[in-house]
Amino acid sequence: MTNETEILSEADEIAALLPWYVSGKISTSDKDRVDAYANAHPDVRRHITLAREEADAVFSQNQEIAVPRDALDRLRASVATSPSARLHAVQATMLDRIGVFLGGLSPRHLAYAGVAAAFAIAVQAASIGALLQGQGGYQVANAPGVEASTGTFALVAFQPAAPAGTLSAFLAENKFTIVEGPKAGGLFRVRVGDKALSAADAEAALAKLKARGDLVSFASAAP
Amino acid sequence: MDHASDDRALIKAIAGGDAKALERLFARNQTRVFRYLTRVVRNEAVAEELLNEVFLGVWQNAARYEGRSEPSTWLISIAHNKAVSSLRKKREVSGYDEEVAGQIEDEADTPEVTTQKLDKAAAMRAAMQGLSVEHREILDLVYYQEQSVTEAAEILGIPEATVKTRMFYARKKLSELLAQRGVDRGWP
Repeated sequence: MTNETEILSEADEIAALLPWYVSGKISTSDKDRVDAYANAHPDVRRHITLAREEADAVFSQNQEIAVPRDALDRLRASVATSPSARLHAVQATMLDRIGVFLGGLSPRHLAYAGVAAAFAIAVQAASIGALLQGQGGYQVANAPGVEASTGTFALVAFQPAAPAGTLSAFLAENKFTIVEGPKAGGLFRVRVGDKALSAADAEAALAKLKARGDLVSFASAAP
Repeated sequence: MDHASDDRALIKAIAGGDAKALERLFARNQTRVFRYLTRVVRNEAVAEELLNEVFLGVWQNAARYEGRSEPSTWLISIAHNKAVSSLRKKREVSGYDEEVAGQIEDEADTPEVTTQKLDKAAAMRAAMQGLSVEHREILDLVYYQEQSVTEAAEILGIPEATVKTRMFYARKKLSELLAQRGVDRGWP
């Protein structure tokens, strides 16, 4: 390999920074440095285009790599035989599959995934949204009057076959509110208390969710 | 709550022995991690094996995650170590250096390459395949995995200045390989 301890010239350092400039994951000081250099050297604008072409090529090559279908089953088997195994036998659900699709997709990735990703999100959002709004009694994410940042929260995945009426009644009965979702991995953010609950009360709320295995496939505390 | 916050909550639950949280973390991140592994080791069967090892490692070591780095950086860091170890073992067992072999192949101007000269995108793809593991990896970490300089340095276990230098030479080498395919990028 080339000598990586070599000190680069200013022009070469700018060339080295352009990939981060294009990805947006660049520090403010480095970004200012690139902008200042580009203002003095207009040719850098063309060089930025080269970096964008590289980004597109890397992205498309990654998109062609399909994830193995049985990877989750394999992991379950490994965990079951690992020393700290506490895995229960759980069948792969539709949410798992949607989660696999959404997994690892940042907003930029979702933009590239385009129609397919949008469709997957819309289908799930619509189903849960219809499920909830049709039953009344509580509010969903982005509804007027819902302040998503206050309270005590849980990350929850619902059983895809959960009856709408039963799920609606369960959430209303416990004053649980969906404030965000669906997110990658088929997760929803659910408010389980209007204010910060004590550890015991928060655990009790989680226990209520986990106890309804017919409706909830996963529940965990969320910050 | 953003993707990283969700993943942090899941890792905390995994540390408490919640296997379902592991499955959720896996569902959310397996695509990104598997693609990274595949691009580095260039063998999907090996990458699949390593993917399993990465998340089994998460299951066994989640309590050690201190939350100082982004969950995505932590996961790719584990994946990097697994991939490097795998490549090292492969070289020790077979004595075959795939990187050297790949670069030798790139010198030849085959009929396929001649055709590729007509297609800039195809030339770019072929040129990227001709890069060394280290150069391919740094391009992937930044362009696909969206890691910052600091995060890439943490994953690779090298200083930030070296990350930048490696990126510079990766891009320079890419231009050279493209030039061999008839694509003049006008840089360096």
